[in-house]
Amino acid sequence: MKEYFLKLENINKTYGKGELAVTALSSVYLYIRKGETAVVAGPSGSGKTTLLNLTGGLDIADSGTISIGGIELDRMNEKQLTSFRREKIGLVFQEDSLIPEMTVYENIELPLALLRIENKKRKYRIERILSSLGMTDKKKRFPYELSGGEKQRISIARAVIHSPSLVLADEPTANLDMLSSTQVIDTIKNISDSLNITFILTTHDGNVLSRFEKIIKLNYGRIV
Amino acid sequence: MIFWIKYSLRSVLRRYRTTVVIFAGFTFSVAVLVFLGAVMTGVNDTMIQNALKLHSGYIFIEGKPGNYSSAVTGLERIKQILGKNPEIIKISGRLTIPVMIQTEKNSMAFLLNGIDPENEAEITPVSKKLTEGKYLPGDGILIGKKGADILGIKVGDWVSVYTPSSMNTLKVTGIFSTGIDSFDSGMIFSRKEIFRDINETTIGYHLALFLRNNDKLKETARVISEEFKDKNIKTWEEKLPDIYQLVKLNEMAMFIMIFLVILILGFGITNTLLTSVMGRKRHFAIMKAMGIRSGEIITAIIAESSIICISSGLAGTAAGIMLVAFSSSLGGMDLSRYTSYNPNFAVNSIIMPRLTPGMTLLPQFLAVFSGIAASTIPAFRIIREKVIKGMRNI
Repeated sequence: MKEYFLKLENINKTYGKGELAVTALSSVYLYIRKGETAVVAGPSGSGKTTLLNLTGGLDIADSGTISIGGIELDRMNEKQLTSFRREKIGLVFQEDSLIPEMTVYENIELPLALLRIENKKRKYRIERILSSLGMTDKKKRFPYELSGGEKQRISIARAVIHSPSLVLADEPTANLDMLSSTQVIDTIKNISDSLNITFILTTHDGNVLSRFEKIIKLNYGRIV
Repeated sequence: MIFWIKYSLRSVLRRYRTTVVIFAGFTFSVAVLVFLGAVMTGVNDTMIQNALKLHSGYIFIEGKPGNYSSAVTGLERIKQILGKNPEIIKISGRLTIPVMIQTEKNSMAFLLNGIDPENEAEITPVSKKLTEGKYLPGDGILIGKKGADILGIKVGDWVSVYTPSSMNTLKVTGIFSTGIDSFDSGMIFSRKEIFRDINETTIGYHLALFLRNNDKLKETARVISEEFKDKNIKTWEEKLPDIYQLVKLNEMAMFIMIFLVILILGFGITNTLLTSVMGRKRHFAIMKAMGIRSGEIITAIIAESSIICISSGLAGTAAGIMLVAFSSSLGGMDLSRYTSYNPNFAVNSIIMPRLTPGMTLLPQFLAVFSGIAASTIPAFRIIREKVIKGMRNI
């Protein structure tokens, strides 16, 4: 049996203290295999974003362990976490997450530049991914010149360009129309299938849920 | 590093509205500071020239007293040697003797200066400061207005001039007024030749040397001191310590002003950069989430600030230089309406702004330094902000 690539065990996270304390996640266990795509579904405030933040090392759990590819995040300091995210994680946020001063090309180039990949290789990879998205003609455009769906597809391209082990996408289809939403999900599915990247995305969109097999439902911080 | 400098350059160019606001403010401030620095130098130049033109020159050489012949020989020998020094543009040589003038009304002590009228008229302003009479047409003396008033002397009067061992009767041919009390009540002038008839062994002589400007004062004084070791040589700074103090005070006041302007500028820049950087808080948070290190964020923000500060500093310096050139082309700034009673501007009240390397580069250096220092504040605020907090708005 294949070893689990991502393991979340007994994860607890509470924001605030005393009477104002809000439990975001309570005793969460989650196991995902390499190359698998999982969808975390649940209503607003159910803890979906918190789960992604903890998994991506953007926040620290109050208790429990998170292991990605055998590496335990809670054993890392801030500097190590930053390097880990740079190399191993790709992030897709809700709308408007592209850097507005950068063109499409430069936005996708950012993770490669951080990893000091040489210019020639950067160019090749960017051209290839833009071509696969059918967006080569948009490479010199700025984010404000793109539609919501196009922005999200570029965000996905940026998240996977450096071949990370894990991509976390927080409601990537929020605020998109049906057609754009379908295009974004198609992009995610194509990339996860072709590149064997583990994907976790959150959503509360029923149409999105119907496209995936592995669905994890969250409610009040618990997996149900 | 190069990637972040490129990123900063793109950010500066592509966020042109913010860039233009910071650039314009910075350029204006540096230009004003360069101009103010040049005005300060001009004020000092005018103060120095006004003080020196009356009597001492930039460097004052005093010979040992003797009879007329030895004094004239000493004077001419020094003039001949110093005439070859390229830093010295004019020399005024004078014979001197302390005298007492007695009238029916009063008596007063003066220093009688034997001059070459034509040469003196080119150098010092006494000839232009006559209120009555003529400028030494022949044998006779010029007397200051204050001295003349105390003694009750008018032009055309004959007065008894007492030297230590003799008395001569001389005609008053003119009265001058410089506005400086000590000068108007203590100095009288005559042609040098009059001293031939004064049979004294206490005739002194001095030379007032005029330089191109004050920049090479000490170096020239040192060279002259080595050449004439037996002479009493003083720079104007030693001869006129009150004026020197005033010039230093003026410099200090200007430095304080420049410092305050830079401080205000620094606060302004900090505020603008803080607004500019904090406005992009969520984008920096995204970059941090992607794995950008603190050092890279600091590099990006400081590089952005450096690009704006250095370019606008250069533009400001160029604009300041143009302002100075424009002001000079108009003939300087005439302050006579405001300084007519100021003894330090008795001779010339036109301020000609002058650029010096220090005062031209200092504003730019300070402004760039303060701008870059100011940019560390938003940079550190961004890196201290938790990724999760910065991303909450996304």
